[in-house]
Amino acid sequence: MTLVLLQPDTAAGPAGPPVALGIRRPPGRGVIPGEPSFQRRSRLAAVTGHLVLILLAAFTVLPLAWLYLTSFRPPDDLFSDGLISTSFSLSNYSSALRSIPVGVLLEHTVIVALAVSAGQLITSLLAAYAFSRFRFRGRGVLFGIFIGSWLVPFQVTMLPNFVLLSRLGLLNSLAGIIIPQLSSAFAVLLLRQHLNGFPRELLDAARVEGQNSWSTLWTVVVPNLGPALAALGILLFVSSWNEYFWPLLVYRNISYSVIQLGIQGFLNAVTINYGALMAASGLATLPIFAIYAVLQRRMVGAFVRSGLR
Amino acid sequence: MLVEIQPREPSPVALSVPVRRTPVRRSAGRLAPYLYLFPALAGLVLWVYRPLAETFDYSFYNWDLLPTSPRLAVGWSNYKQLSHLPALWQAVGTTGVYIAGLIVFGVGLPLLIGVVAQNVSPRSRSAYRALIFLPVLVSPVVAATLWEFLLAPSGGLVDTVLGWFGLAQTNWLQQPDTAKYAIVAISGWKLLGVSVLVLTAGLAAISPEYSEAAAIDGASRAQVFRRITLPLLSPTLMFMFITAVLFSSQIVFPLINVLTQGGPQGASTDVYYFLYQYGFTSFNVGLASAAAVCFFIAFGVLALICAWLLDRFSFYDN
Repeated sequence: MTLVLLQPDTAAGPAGPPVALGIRRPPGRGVIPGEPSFQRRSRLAAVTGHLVLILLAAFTVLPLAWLYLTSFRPPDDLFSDGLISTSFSLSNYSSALRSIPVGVLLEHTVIVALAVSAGQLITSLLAAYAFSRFRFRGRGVLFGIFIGSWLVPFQVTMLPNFVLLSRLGLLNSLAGIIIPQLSSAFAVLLLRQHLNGFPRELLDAARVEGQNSWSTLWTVVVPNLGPALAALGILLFVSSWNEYFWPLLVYRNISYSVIQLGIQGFLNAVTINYGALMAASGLATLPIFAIYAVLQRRMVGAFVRSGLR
Repeated sequence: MLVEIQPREPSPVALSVPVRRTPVRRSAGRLAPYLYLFPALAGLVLWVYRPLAETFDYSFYNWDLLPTSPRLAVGWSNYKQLSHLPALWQAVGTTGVYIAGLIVFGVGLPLLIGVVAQNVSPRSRSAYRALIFLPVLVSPVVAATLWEFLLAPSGGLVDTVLGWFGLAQTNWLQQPDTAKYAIVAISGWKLLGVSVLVLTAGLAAISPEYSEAAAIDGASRAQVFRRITLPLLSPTLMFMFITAVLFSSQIVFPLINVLTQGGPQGASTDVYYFLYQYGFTSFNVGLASAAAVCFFIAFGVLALICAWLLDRFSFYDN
């Protein structure tokens, strides 16, 4: 996943949070009540709109529905012409569990995603706090270092990073996946924007009470930044869960690494067991869909503000 | 807008107050921002800037990635060798195809969706948006394996559906002329949700008063779109255009690796996959690093041009 920071003032209106609310605003069509010709035209436009959107939603959703439908088909029925199979079977799941150690892989993936997202959240919170609370020598240059890092593609740095990991003896370990990902320039920039909009009165009050910057961070800033931190944490978790390329370089034995590599392992077989592959893919995606189902609005809001892709 | 809390100078009043900060405390206060920055900065220096410098260094050596084998200094010969490789220029062309394709999925199609979605009630609009967003959450590996299954040459869903319309079967991922378009379509499928989201946010940020006023003055919908919506949307569109250009290679990379490994006959290899193959398949570290340096500089120049474009062609509603 590539992370892209969307500057709120260039692309999404003057401030961050109102964007998500703004979407719900009724469209500015200038509908004048009691003007029949305009209304008829807009009904036609609404029908066209629904048609276009249904087609696009079908393009995006049908493949995913097909993934889960296929995973419940009997293995010998995968390529039959009937689009909807009448028989239901769990044998793809049992053969997926037999082919790769799904439990171990999921456990590793949870560890990596939690460690990476928590680590990124903490290092970014501290850095963003430094940028928005203090004015210090080299501030501009240091901020430039954060922005600039985001223009260095992963592929340009992968060879030296691979060499360093092998020197440190971290190849074939979860630590080797986690450690290089512990700081995220994207998260720093996003949190800095939130902190810059933080109510100044609260910080002033803490200073009058004689709190130092460290205790202000944990007793005043963090409790009031809860929703933003949660939304960012979810984004970082999802992108780390889906991360594929760095684990691929770190692990030689892919069958005991993370779930994404386990799935790819199916494709290396001579004849691909598509049924088991769809079952494993479905299992690997289910936690993310579950998070989305529960936290849809918050996640969408966070994606809008970040432009994460 | 910056929140400024640290007092710059001690005020004269403070000097008369007997409470004094000890020198230790004061130096800790001056160090504080650097201490807060340290963990994130150390990570960037160690895992982004150090390897970037090392990549420049490696590009002047011949080395096969084995710790035991010697590194030979060869000067500029890796760069000379690189410029004579026909595969490099093929990869540059393929990169162009990917960028163009992702501009369609990352800017063109979302604009169309954003415009027609304005005619639909807000409630159903957000329902459609939630559905179009789903593939964004799917990992590149799952997206790739799923589409490999859908595009399977005999009995795959895509060929079955095309068969209903009397279209011939195609082995999409194994033919040089279709493989890269299949990869564009799959990346577009994954990308569309975010682009639509960013674009609807941009549309929602435009005050409806402008188009209402124009409609009262008798402007047609096409005129309102052309003269009001499009100019006010230009910063969003430029932003989406730039991300499509700069990050297309990052988006297609895992799909290439899972689906085609750059084939058939190198047809789907883009510049970064090219350098990955030289680094981790042929173990020609020098050549891969020289390629990395060239692509890094090329995309850096492209980023500067894009930043200039963003500045030059965006119309702001002040």
